[in-house]
Amino acid sequence: MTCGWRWTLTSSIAVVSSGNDVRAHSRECLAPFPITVLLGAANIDPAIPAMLRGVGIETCGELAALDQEAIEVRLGADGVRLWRLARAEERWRPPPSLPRMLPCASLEWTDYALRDVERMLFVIHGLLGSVCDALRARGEGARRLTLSFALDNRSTYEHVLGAARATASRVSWMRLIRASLESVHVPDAVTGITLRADEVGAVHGRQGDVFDRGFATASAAESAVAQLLDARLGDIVTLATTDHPLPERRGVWQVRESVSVGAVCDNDPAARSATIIQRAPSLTLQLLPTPHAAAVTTARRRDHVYPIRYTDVTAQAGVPVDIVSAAGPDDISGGQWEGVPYTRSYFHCVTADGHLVLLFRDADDAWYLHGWWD
Amino acid sequence: MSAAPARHRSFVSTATELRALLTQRFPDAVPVPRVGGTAPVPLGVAALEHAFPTGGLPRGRLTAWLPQGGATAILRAACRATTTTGERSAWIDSAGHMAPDWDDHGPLLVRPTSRINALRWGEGLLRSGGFALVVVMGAEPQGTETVRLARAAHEGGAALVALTTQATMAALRVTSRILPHGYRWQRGPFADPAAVHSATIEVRVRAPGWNERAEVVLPVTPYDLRLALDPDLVDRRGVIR
Repeated sequence: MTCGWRWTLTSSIAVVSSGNDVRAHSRECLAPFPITVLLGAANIDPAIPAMLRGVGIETCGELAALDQEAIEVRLGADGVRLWRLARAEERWRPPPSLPRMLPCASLEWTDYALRDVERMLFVIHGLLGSVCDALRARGEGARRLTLSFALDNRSTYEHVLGAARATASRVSWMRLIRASLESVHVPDAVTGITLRADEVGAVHGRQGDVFDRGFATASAAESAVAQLLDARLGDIVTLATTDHPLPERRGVWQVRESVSVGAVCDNDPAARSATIIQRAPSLTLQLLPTPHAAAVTTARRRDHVYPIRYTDVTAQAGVPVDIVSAAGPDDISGGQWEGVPYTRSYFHCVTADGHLVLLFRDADDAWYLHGWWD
Repeated sequence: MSAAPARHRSFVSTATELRALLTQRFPDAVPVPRVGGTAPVPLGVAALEHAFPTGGLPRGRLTAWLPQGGATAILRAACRATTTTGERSAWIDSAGHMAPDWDDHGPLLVRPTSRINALRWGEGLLRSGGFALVVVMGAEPQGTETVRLARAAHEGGAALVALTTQATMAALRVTSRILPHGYRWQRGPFADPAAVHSATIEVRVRAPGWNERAEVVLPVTPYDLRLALDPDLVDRRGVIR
């Protein structure tokens, strides 16, 4: 085995380099040196080298040649440690890396038990101060906190809270905790509360961009969005498109849990212009969340019928709408392998008031208003 | 008794001076056509700029947009133009209308859980000052809600566009509609209408001392999934009835 390490005695005595038998090589290197050189490597009684010198043992090599029992009987534990050092058998190992401790604060009480949420919030407010201060000192913010309630029945109830972005703001977390505890039922009286950060993230300043006019307001925008998300007033969504023939299944809205609104745009002005050119304004289809049933009057055109008037049955108004032009049918069928077969004939129609709407007829000859262009 | 009118006369002697005083003391009361200084939020549709008093959507003001066709297309273009110039825009969609070809790189799209939460989102985003354009769709503000939103827009300096039928507190009133006879069709082999190619949108903009209209032709994005090799043909595999 080849080891790739080397070590140096502090009194500039020797350097032991790698080799096949590191311990034997180290012992050879140490052998000619006086025993006193080992005293600096361990906390050993300094009287021992003098005692050894009294019996004629002055070098590390002479000490290493003795038996462990002979040393142990005469010089005790310190003597054995010195003997091991002389034989290069010191059992020192690099200290193991300690697991990273995330900020945590707790408080327990025994004289009474709490049931009132407001009094718990008073305690949590104090604990939160410690945790947020610790996070701020590390330049981090918590993304998830866990509240652990020690209950009077000797059990523990845990409640996890999440924020839209990593933050060390005591005010933000307190608002989240207050809103969350309103809907939480703690099963018994509380005799202690522990607050710990479970997931943390760096809170660092964003690199400035001279082309980004929104850079100056990035922090304010992010704070506002995070606050609104944390208040559970709604979601921020993005669109994932599919190749499904049915329009309502072609786009899937996905909720974004955390949002970064700091970076506004591409730094390349040419790329921005290209984006504008590629995305020229156009009328796009707006779909109803669910198609509205419609009563449709049709007329025949060669081998098919087409709508000439429809009434949105689902809508409360229910006013008949005349159709001046109807293109179609565009027939779509499929879904047999998915277990949900569909058959639709789509018509896009211009109404008398100028709207362009999308109607379809299913396999049961029922008509639906699916959406419009806007 | 006679000293007071004399003092007033010394302050304001002409209509021009009165206007200047009002502009200085009450900037919000100044009609949009006379507002200068700050650049408007771009529309993204060059043909419409001359119809708007400042060439775009006024910052810090409420614009009431009566949607009768084309509003989504124009406002999406405005959001994209805003983003392209390095500012933020947000689209609060309370109606839940899904557009399968939504531009993901444009505005921040918000789906609020209720009408009142849509207005809360609007107020929060406007007041932050981090958004240049906020569009509220499907949640009509009423009464004091309009006042709060308009005040938030003023504080944050953002252009607020509400798609609504009520124009209270609005500095700008916009109506857009698709002209019924402004469609251009692609005809089929039997001269029947086969697909809509484009549509003409009429936009009318009103503000105190301002009444302009403009027309713009916008293409119509087809809804159907093209499976045929010919890009102009839709999938006509036929159905079994």
